[in-house]
Formats: sequence, C-alpha cells, structure tokens
Amino acid sequence: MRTLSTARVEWVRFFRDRIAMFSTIAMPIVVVLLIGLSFGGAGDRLGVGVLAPAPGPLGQQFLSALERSPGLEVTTYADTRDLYRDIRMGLLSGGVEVPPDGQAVRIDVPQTSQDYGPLVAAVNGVVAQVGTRAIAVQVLSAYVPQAKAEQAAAAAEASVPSLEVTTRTVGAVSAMDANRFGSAVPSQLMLFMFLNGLIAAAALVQARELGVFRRTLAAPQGLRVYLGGLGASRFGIAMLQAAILLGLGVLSFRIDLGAPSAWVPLVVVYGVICAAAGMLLGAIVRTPGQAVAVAIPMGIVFGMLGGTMWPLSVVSPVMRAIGHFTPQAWAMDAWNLIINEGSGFATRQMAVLLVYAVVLSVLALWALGRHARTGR
Amino acid sequence: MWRHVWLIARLGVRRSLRDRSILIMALVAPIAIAVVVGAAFGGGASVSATIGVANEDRSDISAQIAQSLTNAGGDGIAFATVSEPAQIDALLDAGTYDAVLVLPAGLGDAVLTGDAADLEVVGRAAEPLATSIAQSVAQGVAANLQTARVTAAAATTAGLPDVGAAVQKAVETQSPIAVDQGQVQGTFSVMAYFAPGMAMLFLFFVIGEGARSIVAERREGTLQRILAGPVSPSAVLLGKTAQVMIVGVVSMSVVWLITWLAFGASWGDPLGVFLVIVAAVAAIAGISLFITGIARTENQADALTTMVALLFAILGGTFFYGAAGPLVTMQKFTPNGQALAAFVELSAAQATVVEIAPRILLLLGIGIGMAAVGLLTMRNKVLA
Repeated sequence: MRTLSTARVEWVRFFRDRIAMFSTIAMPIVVVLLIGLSFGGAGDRLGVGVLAPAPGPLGQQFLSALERSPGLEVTTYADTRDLYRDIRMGLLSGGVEVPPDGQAVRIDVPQTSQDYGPLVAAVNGVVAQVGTRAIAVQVLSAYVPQAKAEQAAAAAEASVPSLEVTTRTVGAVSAMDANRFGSAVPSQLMLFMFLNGLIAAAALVQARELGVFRRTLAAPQGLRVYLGGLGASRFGIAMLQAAILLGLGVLSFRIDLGAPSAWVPLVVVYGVICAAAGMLLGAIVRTPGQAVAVAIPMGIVFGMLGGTMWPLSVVSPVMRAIGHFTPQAWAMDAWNLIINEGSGFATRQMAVLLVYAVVLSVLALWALGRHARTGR
Repeated sequence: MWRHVWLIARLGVRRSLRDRSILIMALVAPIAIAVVVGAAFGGGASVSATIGVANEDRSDISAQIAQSLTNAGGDGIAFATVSEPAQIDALLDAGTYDAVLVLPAGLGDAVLTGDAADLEVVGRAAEPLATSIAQSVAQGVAANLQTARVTAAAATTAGLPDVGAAVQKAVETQSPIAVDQGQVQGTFSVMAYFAPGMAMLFLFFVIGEGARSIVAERREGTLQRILAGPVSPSAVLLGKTAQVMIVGVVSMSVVWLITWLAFGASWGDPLGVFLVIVAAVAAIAGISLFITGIARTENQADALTTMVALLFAILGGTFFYGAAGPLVTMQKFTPNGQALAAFVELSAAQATVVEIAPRILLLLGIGIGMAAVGLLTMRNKVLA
C-alpha cells in the first residue's frame, strides 16, 4: 500500500513533466506514423533511376517497357548529379541512361557494388521487349521487298498472341511484412521504452542530489518502500507507453500481435528491464545533465545494435552477435517468433530477458541502497 | 568591449571543455552512433538471388533457353537448372532457390506454331524481390521467343521458302537497343550521413545549455556581479553567443575530422564542409537563443529545447536514411534537414561550395534572425 502511494506520487510528478509526456507518448507515435508512411512497401523491387533527357521513338518504347518491368521501381531524374548521388548513397541499385536513338543505353552501377547482376538481368529483359517487329522486318527484307516485309511483320505481330508470364508464390508473407506498421510498432516500442527508462534517470539523480534517498532512511516506511514505489512507478510508465502504442497498432493499424500468452509476458519483463536500467543509470551518474547525455546516445546505440531501427537479418553475423548483448535483440527475436511464426511463448528469448531483468534490478537496488547509506 | 566579449567567451569555452556531459554529447555520441551504423551497413546493401530454371519441355529451343540463362548469371544473380521439376514447391520452401522460372511443356512447338503459351514464375512469398527479378527475366525470355514467333508468322505470310532459317536469323539478331555498362565513380559512407545528423541533434542540447547559462548566471547572482563592473550587457550577450558558436563549431569539426581521418568517411570538399558546419551551428545557436529569450523560466527553456531538438531530428531525417514520402518534404522545413541535405550534396553528389551556397545562406539567415530576436528579448528581460 505504501509502496503504491509512493509510486502514485512519482506518477503525478511524471504527468506534470511535459517533456517526459512528449518523449514517452507523442514521439513514439509520430515516429511509428512516419516510418509506416515513408518506408512502407519498399524492398520488393530494385530501385533504378532513369535519366532520359531526349529519347527517340525507340528510347520511348524502351522507357515504357522499363516502367512496366515487374522487377524494377523506376524513378525519373533530370540531373546526372542527383542520379549519381542516390546511386552512391545506395538508395538506388543503379541507373539507366537513355541517349537519343542509335546510341547504347547505359546501365550505371555503383563503384562499390559487387552484385549488380539482378539489375542487369532485369534491364536486359526489358531490352528484349523492344524491337520485335524491327527485327522481323530486318530478317524478312533480306528476302522480300521492304514494303512487303513491313506489311507481313505488322500482320504477324497483330495475329500472334504474345507469350504471357504467370506468377504464383509458395509460402506466406510474414505478418510483419504484410502490414507496414507490423514491424514499426513493436520495434519502436522496444526502442522508446528503453530510451524513456534511461532518460528517467535524470529525475532520479535530482532526487539523489536533494538527499531524498538518505532521508528515506529516517522515515518510518524506510528505503525499501521508497525503492519499491520508485521501481513500480517507472514500470507503470513503461506499461502505459506499451498500452498506448500497442493499442494504437491493434486498433488503428490492425496489427495482429499474436498470442497474448506470448506478448504480454514479453512486454512486462521488458518493462522491468527498462525501469531497472534507468534506475541503475540514475544511481551511477553524477548530474542530471550527465544522465541525459548518457541516456539518449545509449538508448539510440542499443536500439541500433539490437535491431529496433533495422532488422538484424540485414547486418553481418558479427554485428548480429554483438547486437545480442543488448536486451533489444532478444526482445525483437521474441516479437518475430510471436508475430511471424505464431509462437505461443518465446521460451529461450524470455529466459534471457528474465536474466537481464533480474540482474539489472538487483544491481539498481544495490546501487541505490548503497547511495542511501553512504551518500555516494 | 571586444576584450570583454573575448574573455567571457573564453571562460565559457573552457568551462564547457571540462564538462563531461558536453564531451559525451558533442563528441562521443555522434561518433559512436555513426560507427555503429557504419559497421552495420559499411558493406552496402547486398542483393543476391538464385533463380532455378525448370525445363519441362523437351524441345531444342527450351534447352537453348535454359542453357543461355544458366550461362548468364554472376554478380549477385545465379541461374541453376532444377533437376526435379516436380519438387519445385519443396525446393523453394527449403530455400534452394529464391524463385523458379518454368519453361512449360510444348513451349518449343508454340514458338513455331504461334499458339498461346505461358511461362511461369514460381516465387516465395517471403522473397518478393527475387520473385519480381525472375519475372523480369521471364519477360525477357518471352520477348525473345515472341520475336521468333512473329518472324516465323511473317515469313510464312510473305511466302519465304525457308521459315526455319529466318527464325534462326531472328534469334541471332541483336536488339536495336544496345546496352553498355558503366560505373558511377566515388564512394559514400553512411557515416557521412549519420555523424553530422547526430552531431546536430546533440548540439541542440549542448548549445541550448550554453544559451541558458545566461539565465542560470542571473539566478546564481554572478551576472549581476559581472554587470556591476565595467562590462556592458551587450558584451555579456555577445560573449555567450561567441562561446556557443566556438563550442559548436569546434566539436562538430572534431566529429568530422575523426570520422573522416580515422574511419575514412569523406564528407566532401573540406571548405564546403567547414562552411556548412559554421552555418548549421549558427542556425542551432540562433534557435537556442530564441528559445531562451522567449521562455519564461529556465526549466521551460530546457523543456522547449529538448522538444525542438527531438522533433527537428525526427522531421529532419536524422534517424531515417533514404526515406521517401512525407519525410522528404518535411526535411526541407527544418534547419538540420537543410544542413543534412547540404552535407549529402557535398559527400554523395560531390557538389562544390557554390552549389550549396543557397543552403548555407539560408542557415546563416535563420541563425542570425533567430539570434537577433532572442538576444534582444534576453537583453530586455535578463539584463535589465
């Protein structure tokens, strides 16, 4: 009861703090929306930039075939510099420069790329589609007058049905890929819960500076109740954040989170980790300024290493291994199992996260207790 | 007066250098984040697809197509003959192929008769890129066959004696469009994007604290003591402004030099980079002074700075590399987005100083304008 009333006081303090409200609630929502709107649907075609200042009739034919190519996502550029910039940045797989008819089309590939084969294969597929009739006329005109060849080729092209390409797929798209918000919501939740947990360290350092911890030793309910209340309030804020973001995901973006028996424990244990990490940081650093200076970069770096800003499946095995020193990586693995593979409980990941939660909580309570007793 | 400005600035800079949180935010954080991103994406995104070719037809034509495809792979795309066409789905499921191109039975005959025929691409739903690449390749194969079919039909209509020879000729004839391949020279490191982006985010915090220190000094009473001496209020304000500018420019330049010289991430033309750094720091300092000027209390200034910094970082693209859609538009309306665009122009587009001059002037304009308003309000409020 006393623990809860301590927690309540901390909650009230939190809700008065507009920055905390902003970074806990508003920021994650804005970021999820931006990611969903700006990155959705990418990755199923090769990005290619096209530069065609003055294409001839043949070039036009080629361009419209290029636009229709199923493997290519065509963006038109007006300026070589902009095209080359986006190629160097890796935003495009390459470029296609279409000169006036009679000159060769040029495929631009990045200097660093070792795997432009798919782009070249796709563009060659497009090239083959241009000139069917021209080739037929060329071949026939060796035998018959040009006019007759042209007439016969035109008639043939009209009468011969074109060969179609049909497509079917096996297996299923993973749930996170099917919904553009499917991966944004869990990943940003893991990022921001941790970030906010760490930033909360600043308020804790303030309390330390004011001697709140030392004074609790003199109070009848003692340090244990205060630490319990502090932890409970931090954990409660993490849960609030989770409820809002997941609620938004489920209600507005129709995300299927999978089995509650799997994701509820995940969110709860992760919430403990975030609360404990923030309390530990608050026990270690000296000033509120330092707490913020460490919290924000650390939250971002851990988020990056742990795969909340991009999936760890796209990085090298070494980076993936390093990433798994962070709780974020295990949490994201768990989300993958739960959402994509319908796991009822991500046992191994949860075990690792539980170890993080226990170790961080013990360290945080020990460090804060030590501070209360010694003043350091 | 200038001596006072210099003294105040120098003292402020010295105090900033001793502050560990400033060192962490201004130097360690942007470099660490850039290094992590560089390590994750240093090799660039790689694409590789293995496309199976399942020949269910027994004609020479199909065998030729399959043969020419399997010879055509390399550099991220490989074609392999599917030995058991009945097992396509299982082989795809097992990941042996990312997609399979099926040459159906009767394809060879259809080339000569002109009858309808379909090529089939079987892909994995989880590998949409490989599937769409296989579709493009299949369309190329279909188009080549179509050329042969049209030629055959035309040759028959025109009454050519040897239709087979004409078809053979058509197959050997090159497309009227020739294709060359060229490399785009010059490399770009993602670190040259994330290091300046993150440096600007954290500079908001560092510079914001510097700007607020005027208000803090009033609260602590040191400001009144300084003004009791022969120091003009303008000298104090200019000294503080010089302090935040020096801290900002020096720290961001150090981030630049370390990521460039130690990690090999070139930011482009050094003169241009330095000018963008100065302009970006001026804009951030101007905004910080403005916020400090309009805020009612120190805490409010602190809160506003944090919100503005994070909001600008998100909208300005600090966290999102290569975004499309609404983000690109919003980027233009933030000072750090403009600065980041200038940095990208210098590094990835190899732009010259002249080409990015408009962005530099815009940033300087924002900085000077905002600083003027901020300093005037502060002069009235704090130093009165």
